[in-house]
Amino acid sequence: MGTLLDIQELRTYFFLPGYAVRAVDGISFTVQEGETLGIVGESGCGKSQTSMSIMRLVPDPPGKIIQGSINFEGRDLLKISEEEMRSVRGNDISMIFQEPMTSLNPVLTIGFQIAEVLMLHRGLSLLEAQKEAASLLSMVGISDSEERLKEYPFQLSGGLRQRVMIAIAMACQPKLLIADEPTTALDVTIQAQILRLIRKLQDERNMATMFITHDLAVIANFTQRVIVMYAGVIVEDSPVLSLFRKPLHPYSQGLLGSIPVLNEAKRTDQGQRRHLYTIPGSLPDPKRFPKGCRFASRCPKAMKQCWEAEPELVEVEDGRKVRCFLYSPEVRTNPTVSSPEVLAQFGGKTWKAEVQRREKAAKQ
Amino acid sequence: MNQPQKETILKVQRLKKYFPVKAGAFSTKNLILKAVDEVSFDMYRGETLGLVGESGCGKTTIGRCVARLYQPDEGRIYLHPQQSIVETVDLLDLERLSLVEELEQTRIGGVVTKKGLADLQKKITNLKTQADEAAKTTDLLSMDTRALKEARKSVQMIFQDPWASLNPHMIVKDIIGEGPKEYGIQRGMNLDRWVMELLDRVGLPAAAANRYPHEFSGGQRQRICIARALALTPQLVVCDEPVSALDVSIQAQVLNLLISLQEDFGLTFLFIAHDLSVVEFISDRMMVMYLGRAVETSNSEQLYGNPRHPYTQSLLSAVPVADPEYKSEEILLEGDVPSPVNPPSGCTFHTRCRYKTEICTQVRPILEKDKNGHKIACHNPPND
Ligand SMILES: Nc1ncnc2c1ncn2[C@@H]1O[C@H](COP(=O)(O)OP(=O)(O)OP(=O)(O)O)[C@@H](O)[C@H]1O
Ligand SMILES: Nc1ncnc2c1ncn2[C@@H]1O[C@H](COP(=O)(O)OP(=O)(O)OP(=O)(O)O)[C@@H](O)[C@H]1O
Ligand code: SF4
Ligand code: SF4
Ligand SMILES: [Mg+2]
Ligand SMILES: [Mg+2]
Repeated sequence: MGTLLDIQELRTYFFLPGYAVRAVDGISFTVQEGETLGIVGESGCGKSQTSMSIMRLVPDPPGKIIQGSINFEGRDLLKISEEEMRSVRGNDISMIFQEPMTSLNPVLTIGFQIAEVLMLHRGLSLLEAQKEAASLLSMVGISDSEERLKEYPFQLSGGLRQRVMIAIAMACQPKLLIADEPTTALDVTIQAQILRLIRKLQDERNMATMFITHDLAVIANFTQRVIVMYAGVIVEDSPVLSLFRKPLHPYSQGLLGSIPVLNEAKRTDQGQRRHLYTIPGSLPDPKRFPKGCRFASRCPKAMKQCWEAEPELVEVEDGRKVRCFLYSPEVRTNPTVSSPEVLAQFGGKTWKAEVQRREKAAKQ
Repeated sequence: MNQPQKETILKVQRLKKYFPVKAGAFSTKNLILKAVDEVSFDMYRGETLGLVGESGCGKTTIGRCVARLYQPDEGRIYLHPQQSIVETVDLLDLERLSLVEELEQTRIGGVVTKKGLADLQKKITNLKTQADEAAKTTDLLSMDTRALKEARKSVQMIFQDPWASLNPHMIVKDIIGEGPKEYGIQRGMNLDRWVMELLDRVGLPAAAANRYPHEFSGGQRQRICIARALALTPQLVVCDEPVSALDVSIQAQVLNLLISLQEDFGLTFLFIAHDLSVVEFISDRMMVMYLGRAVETSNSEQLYGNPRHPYTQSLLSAVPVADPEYKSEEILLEGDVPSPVNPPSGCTFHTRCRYKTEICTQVRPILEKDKNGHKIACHNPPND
């Protein structure tokens, strides 16, 4: 497996009168060929702007990519001309947006919109393109595709529209598919169908996928590696199984602790209703991030140094990176703070139980 | 067993809600959409009943009927039902419904005199009046307007969209105080104090009282909605997807809030959501719906551990669970949900069911007791 996408120190800011919003604030990661990468994080943490930066679709003004490189198959996408970029967008990288209705043209038929892409990017003739469009629709599971081609976007249900979007995204056989909340607006069973469809296409074509979502169930089921973002930066980068078993960053731990887990006892032995763990507070204002760790004001494990300097994203074990002082060598060797080994024992669900135990103990 | 008797706070019987819909964009012909088609269930004081099912299966419609925002076409919704009344009314209703059936049959058969039809019609009307009269003290659907206004205080609703369900031109204090004001309780100083208490209870600062909804985040708005729903000290709250629009961490805060309010005020929740982990977490019992009908009810652990109805089995297997090590065997649901305007005959699930037999296409299964305390509506319940 080779590296398909290599992003280094990307910064995308929005310049508004009097201040700048640091939407993406120095992120680096890679995507391997055929890999499925998930990106999670609270609303506003910069997930969408990361993908918009890769597509070079950041609304400018007020947005601007001010630093970094985005290497795709050895080419820096930030250095190529707009014309070359258009060809990358059509042929190599496709994106599915959250709300399919706004990204389809309401006055053109579905058939025309798919055929247009095929003619433009694959150089097919009108006739060939129409034929191919029909076969794309049946590939994404739309029956009577010939008929559907004549319909307009408003005539389709949300699930069908999202399938059409996928068909268009697939039309050029991209090497990377970016799906930004592809199923949030859809019903549970339709969501499952769409996700299964993306996975099937991915297997068949060895296509890499970036899944942006705040749904941890989708992450758990459909990705191999996960990037957890917080306030414009990556705080953890890890294989999915290790993340769920043993989240390292306190924010990841909080995130995993705040979702209900199936089949967990709902009441304590005393008959008290169990509560979910919650992360106190909210995201810092992206206009002026505090000095030090951006999570410090909400972090149950914050130490003095967390308020003074910002931790780096470093590899702490095989294939796992985390941005947190708890995992720095000094802290690891300093017995006065809780060691990460101790904290890490409480991975996933057991960690959650541990938090509950501690909270209860603190109350008494 | 010496357990205290569960107190039934709400009893819904044979609830139907139909909507007239146009046959096509330019058609003048009206068709009937059976959004809720003969659904019955009980709710016990202090419990949470979770309502799940695919989009369009009628969850919101049931919630809105219970909160009396919709006028159902048929059925009873008893608040604090009394056994004797329920029984009396039931007999009358069942008799009437069988006559209605008969009426339909003779209309189709066409071998009846005009007078015969009129007599039957009159009998039906009589039975309806009689039953309504008997039910009128506890049935939300046959109460007179004054009694209903009183009863409505006890049933409140929280809506899915915290952005759309608050009037943008009103400050929070007035939004929360609107209900109490209308009912003429807690006037003047008292009302202010009550609003402050509610704000405090849902975790909002007192300063929030004089602000407008747009100044709050999604999670905070949902708290305002919850405070508004609690302002009339209801006993039952219909929560229609209260956390679906919220971020994971805020979702957890709102769920915790609902749980503590439930414990403190002894509230009963009808909880609608499409996130199955969330419903399972908050519910004591669950009801699964398909195309306007209830197909399975059971306590929530049992539902997940051992779903019994073929539809429930495939629904649960299709939905991703936030645990990469949880492997459910996916049972594919073929095709789309059929149109509720023209639902399949017999068991409405037969077009997608692996266990379908002849009878399924002809006879509508009724919800009855199955293994492990589940109730399912199925002719051929699959083996474990
Ligand atoms: N056009 C814009 N002008 C100003 N600020 C913007 C603009 N678009 C995004 N931002 C800001 O950039 C930050 C990151 O936004 P982004 O859309 O990437 O978040 P996200 O992680 O995708 O959130 P969500 O889960 O809600 O989609 C936010 O603080 C947002 O307010
Ligand atoms: N006011 C109305 N007029 C006409 N049809 C309606 C109306 N309200 C609901 N319906 C129809 O009734 C059926 C049930 O709708 P309902 O909103 O109760 O579904 P739901 O289970 O809440 O779905 P969702 O999960 O999408 O909220 C749907 O087919 C819907 O289109
Ligand atoms: S660096 Fe400090 S404040 Fe930041 S997450 Fe780690 S422990 Fe918490
Ligand atoms: S009644 Fe028949 S069609 Fe319906 S769920 Fe049971 S087996 Fe399937
Ligand atoms: Mg986004
Ligand atoms: Mg609904």
